[in-house]
Amino acid sequence: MAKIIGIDLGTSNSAAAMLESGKPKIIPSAEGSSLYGKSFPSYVAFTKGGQTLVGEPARRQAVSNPKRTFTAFKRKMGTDYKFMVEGREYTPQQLSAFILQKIKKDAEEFLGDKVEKAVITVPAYFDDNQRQATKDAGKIAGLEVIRIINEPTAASLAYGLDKKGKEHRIVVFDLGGGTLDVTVMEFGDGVFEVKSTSGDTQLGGMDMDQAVADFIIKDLIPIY
Amino acid sequence: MKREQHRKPGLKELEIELEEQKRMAADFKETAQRVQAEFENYGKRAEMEKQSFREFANAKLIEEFLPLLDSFDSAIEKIGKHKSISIGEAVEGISSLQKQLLRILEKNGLKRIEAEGNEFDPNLHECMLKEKIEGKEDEVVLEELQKGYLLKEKVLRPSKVKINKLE
Repeated sequence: MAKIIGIDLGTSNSAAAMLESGKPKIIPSAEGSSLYGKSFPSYVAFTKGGQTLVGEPARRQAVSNPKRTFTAFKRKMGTDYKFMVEGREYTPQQLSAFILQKIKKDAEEFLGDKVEKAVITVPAYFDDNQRQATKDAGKIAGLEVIRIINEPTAASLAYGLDKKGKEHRIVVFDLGGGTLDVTVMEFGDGVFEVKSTSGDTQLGGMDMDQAVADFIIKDLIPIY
Repeated sequence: MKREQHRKPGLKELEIELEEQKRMAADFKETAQRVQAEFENYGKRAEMEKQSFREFANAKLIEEFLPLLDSFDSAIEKIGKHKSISIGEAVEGISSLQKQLLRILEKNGLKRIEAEGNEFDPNLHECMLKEKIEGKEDEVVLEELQKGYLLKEKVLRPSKVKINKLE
C-alpha cells in the first residue's frame, strides 16, 4: 500500500515524515542543511540560466541572486500577492508547490515507491483561504492533500497525547526559524480543540542568529 | 434443459460455516499480530545493529588517526628538546602534519571542492559576498573564504565564496 506522508511546510524550513510500524520517521532531504540532513530551507530560486533551484542550493545563491530568490512565501499564502520574476508571476501556492514537489521526489526516492497522498500541517491561526491555498499548493505539486491539520495538533499527536485516554489541556510552544506560535488546546473524546492561539509571526531562530551577528559586529569587533 | 437445483443450507450447516469463518478470522488476526510484533522486533534489532555498526565504524576511523596523534606527540617532544625552532621549521612541521591528516581523510572519501576561478555553482558553493569586476566572467568565483568538502560525492560543507556579479 502506498504511503501517506506528513509534511511540515514551514516558513523557513520544511520537512516530511511517514509512519512506520506506528511510529513517525523523518524522511531525509536529499541535500539537507547537513549531510543526510532531515529538513531543508524553504527557498525557491530561478537562475539566470533558467534553472529552478529548491532548498539548500537556492539558499546558497540568495546573496548573488536576490531578485529571483524567494523565501517566507508561506506568510503570503491565501492572499492575492504575486512574486515577480522578469515579467513572470508566481503565486505563493506555486512557490510552495516547488517545495512540495521536492519533498515528493525525496520521499519517493527514500521509499522506492510512488507518493501521491499527503497530510500538510498549517498554523492554528490559518483561516479558510490560507488552508485552501495550502491544499492548492499540494495539488499543483501532484499530491492529493487528504487532510490539513493544525501544527500544534500534529505535535500533540507525535507525543501520543491522544492515546493517554483522558481529557487534558495542552500548551504547545513552537519556536521555528521565522515564527513563534503558542497554542492552548483541549483534548477530549478523540478531538483536539484549539482554545487560543497567539505568537509572533516575525520572531524566530533566524532573528536570534541575526541578534548574535549584530552583537558581534557592533559590540565585539570594535573592542578586539 | 436441466434445471439447476438450489438447496438452501440448513441452520446446522450455517452454524458450522460460521464457526469455520470465525476460526479463520482468529487465525488471520493472530498471524497479523505476530507479523506486526516480528516487524517491530526486527525494527528494534536493525536499530541496535545500526548503533553497533556506527560504533565499530568510528573505532576503525579513530584507529586510522592514531599515527597522526603519534606524529603530534613526537613533534611536541622534539620541540621540547630543541627549545627553539625557526618559523620555517615550524611551518614545515605543521604542513607535514596537515598532509598526513588530509591523506587519512581522503582515504575515507573526503575531497576538496574546487572553487576559485570556477563558475559559481550553488550545488557546491555558497555565495557570501559579491563584487563587480569588469573584464572577468560573470559569476566566476573570485575568492574562496572557507574551503568546502565533498564526502563520497555528497556535499559535506559547501565552499563559502566571493563571486563576480556583472549585473
